[in-house]
Amino acid sequence: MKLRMKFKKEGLTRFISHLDMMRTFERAFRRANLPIAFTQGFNPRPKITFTPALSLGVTSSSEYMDVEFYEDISKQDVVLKLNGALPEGIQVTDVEEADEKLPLSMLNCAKYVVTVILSEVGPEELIKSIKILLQQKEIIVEKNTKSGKKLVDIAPLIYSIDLADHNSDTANIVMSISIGQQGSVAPITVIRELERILLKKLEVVGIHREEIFYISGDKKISPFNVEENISPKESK
Amino acid sequence: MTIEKQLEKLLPLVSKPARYMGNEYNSINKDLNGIKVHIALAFPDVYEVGMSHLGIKILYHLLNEYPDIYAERVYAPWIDFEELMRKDGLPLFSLESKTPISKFDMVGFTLQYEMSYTNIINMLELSGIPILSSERNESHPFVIAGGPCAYNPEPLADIIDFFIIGEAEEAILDVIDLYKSFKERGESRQEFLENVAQIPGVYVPMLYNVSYNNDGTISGILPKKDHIPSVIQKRVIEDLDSVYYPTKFIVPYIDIVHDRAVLEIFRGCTRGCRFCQAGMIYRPVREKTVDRLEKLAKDIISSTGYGEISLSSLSTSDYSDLKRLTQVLTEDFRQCQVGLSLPSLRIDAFSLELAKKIQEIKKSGLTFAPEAGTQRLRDVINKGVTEEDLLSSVRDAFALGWNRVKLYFMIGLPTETYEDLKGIADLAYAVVDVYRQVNGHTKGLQVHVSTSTFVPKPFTPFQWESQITLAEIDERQQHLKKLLKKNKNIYYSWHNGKISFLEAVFSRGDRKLGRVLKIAHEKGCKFDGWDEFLDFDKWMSAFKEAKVDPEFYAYRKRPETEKFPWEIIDAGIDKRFLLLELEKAKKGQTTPDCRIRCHGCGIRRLGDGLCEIKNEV
Ligand code: SF4
Repeated sequence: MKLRMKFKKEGLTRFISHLDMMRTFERAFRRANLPIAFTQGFNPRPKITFTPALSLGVTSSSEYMDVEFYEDISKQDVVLKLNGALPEGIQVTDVEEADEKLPLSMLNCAKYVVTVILSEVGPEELIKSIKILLQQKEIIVEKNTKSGKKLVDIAPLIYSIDLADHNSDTANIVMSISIGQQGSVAPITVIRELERILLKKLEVVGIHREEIFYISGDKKISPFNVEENISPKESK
Repeated sequence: MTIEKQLEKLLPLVSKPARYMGNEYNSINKDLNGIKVHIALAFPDVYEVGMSHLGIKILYHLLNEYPDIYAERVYAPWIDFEELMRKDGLPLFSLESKTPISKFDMVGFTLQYEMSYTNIINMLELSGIPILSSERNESHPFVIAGGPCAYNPEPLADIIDFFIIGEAEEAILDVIDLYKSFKERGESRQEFLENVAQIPGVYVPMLYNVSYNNDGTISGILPKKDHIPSVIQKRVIEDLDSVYYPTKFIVPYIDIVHDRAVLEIFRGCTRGCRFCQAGMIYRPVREKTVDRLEKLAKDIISSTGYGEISLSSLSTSDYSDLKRLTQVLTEDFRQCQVGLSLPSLRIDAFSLELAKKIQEIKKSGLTFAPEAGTQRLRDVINKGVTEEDLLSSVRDAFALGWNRVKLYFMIGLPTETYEDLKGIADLAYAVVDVYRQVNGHTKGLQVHVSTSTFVPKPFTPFQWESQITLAEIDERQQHLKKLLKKNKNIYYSWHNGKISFLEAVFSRGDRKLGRVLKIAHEKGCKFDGWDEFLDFDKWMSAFKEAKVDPEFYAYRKRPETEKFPWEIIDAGIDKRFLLLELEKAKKGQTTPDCRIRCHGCGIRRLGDGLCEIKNEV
């Protein structure tokens, strides 16, 4: 039996790397005494697959993993037991059977909320800079890859950027950007581009992944196969 | 700004932020309001190393069993984080409650290796605690230390307020009890130190005067007052089977050096290798029973979720019921995919049989530690391994499909000649020959030869011996390199001789070295056990400035009459026994395992029935 679980990663656990998360879950499953399946062979690994890696320092309320069990168990039981065995900050919030859902590897878009401090930059200025950035046909940035520095165009990787809300101290910038194998861009890279337009520093105090989904044409599909039409603003 | 806020700002900027964030599964949070004694357990190395150390885990969980005691952890910040801490004015803090270390009642350092001493000073400085014991007052924590290096506490005498010598599980509680009443009565720091000095196993260096002879050797270490003990006997746990052992180990997020559950199966060692300090200071052998171990193992796995459990001891093969223990454990853990690992296992027919079932050994290759290249020298050091033993085990292993072997040796052992070095090479070549005989070729074979330099240690029969010079270390390493490079299946690596030299200085050093440590720290020495950080020139200039000659400690052969700095400690091993062993070593005579015959090492003095070894004769 294969289950798809949605979980959140909050507080200090945002500093745990993707690789370390896998180990954390493997141990949590063992503590919870849940019958997870292992790969065969010399170095058995638990059969768990995750959504694309979250950068270090980013919190999320929308992480997913598929977990295979060698016997059937109730979904409620899994959540209850697993949550009792997870470290503070990591918590499963939803679970469904994974069969017939779109593969996690297909997810290609994530919605982030980036919180910045409004000291040097006012909200109007910020809105203007977002507009300017979105109008650019090309946004060339330098990217560090294994084979050295490379220039890439991130314009096609940005679906939308918005100033969602703000108070006198901080503003929340919401952005939907590409993730996964087809190409990905980090939220902080987008912020750096806004700074370039503003000619000022934006102090980031938090980055949060709020949603993750598959976008195709004017449809967006969540990992639990909820389909939605998207606003023209978000479509590419 | 609170430490938490500062930390949130800095963590995104450092490598491996999880080193500093705490919050790991099973780490313990307590309300500080109900706490009477707040103690920071400090390990003077980076998180991944410190978190792998069993002693500190035992103390952490033991102390936290008591509702009014709160023990927290602190490790040496890595270079990048230290830089940010200094820039941002962030003091060293505990991982659990993020309390500044300077606010604790006590800070207890584990002394696992001498090369961590500068890290202790650095951690004190980062905490804002005066480095010298004499400069601390009522507003500062007590700085304590324990662990194997505390058997020669003198190089740290100016820095540490008091040492706990030997096994600390019971002694630390005695100390804390005293501390509680001290706090209630509002006594002075000095009064506490004079009282704590009377707890067995506790050494308070500032209460002793050291006098020297003209040649720089020690003429005496004498208590300043009558009621202060003139020798400190190590603490020993009598019944290891029933002593506290934790099961809710902290599970780190990041990969640490030993990232697995640890089950201590026994303490002590009966083999009596003459170079080995652990084999002497951890006497006598005391085992836990299979029943208790099985129960502990199950509890540990269910509360940590670890996928691997490692049996810990100085010589796993010597556990009296190893066969049953491994059977029981493999049976228990088959279903949940928990592997068993057995480090420090002697390779023989039984262990190979076992290894077939235990994947860990298969992955990492087989390790043999003949320590010396010829039978003559192995007899000198009393390492009871013969060439036939080694080669026949290797033959069995190759026949079972292994193709990677590690061979550990020491160079510079007392009486070593170039004949013995050639013996190391001959043994390596013999291993290659065996592989060829078994497989008809040498494709895929890797024989890793590794040498470290012998460091004479206190409380061993070789404590009177000298270390070979740095020039000799280099020569012998080069010589071996030449001998071993002719075969492409053999890979040779060696430990940094300069580190061994400094170890030799500090392991048998005296109080005068405190000044050297302080100057070395001021020059920026830290993480000296890490090859990439050791700055030997700085060390040499520190010795010079302190007007201390390091060669006096490393190279000097001591006469039998010399009084040693560490003789303020009674490790339970009689000097007479050590001298006898030294004489036998010089004659190439071996001493059989304690299980064959008791040699009267002296440990029975520490308690009736303490040594449970049943001798054959
Ligand atoms: S008392 Fe005898 S048997 Fe026990 S450790 Fe010492 S020498 Fe060995």
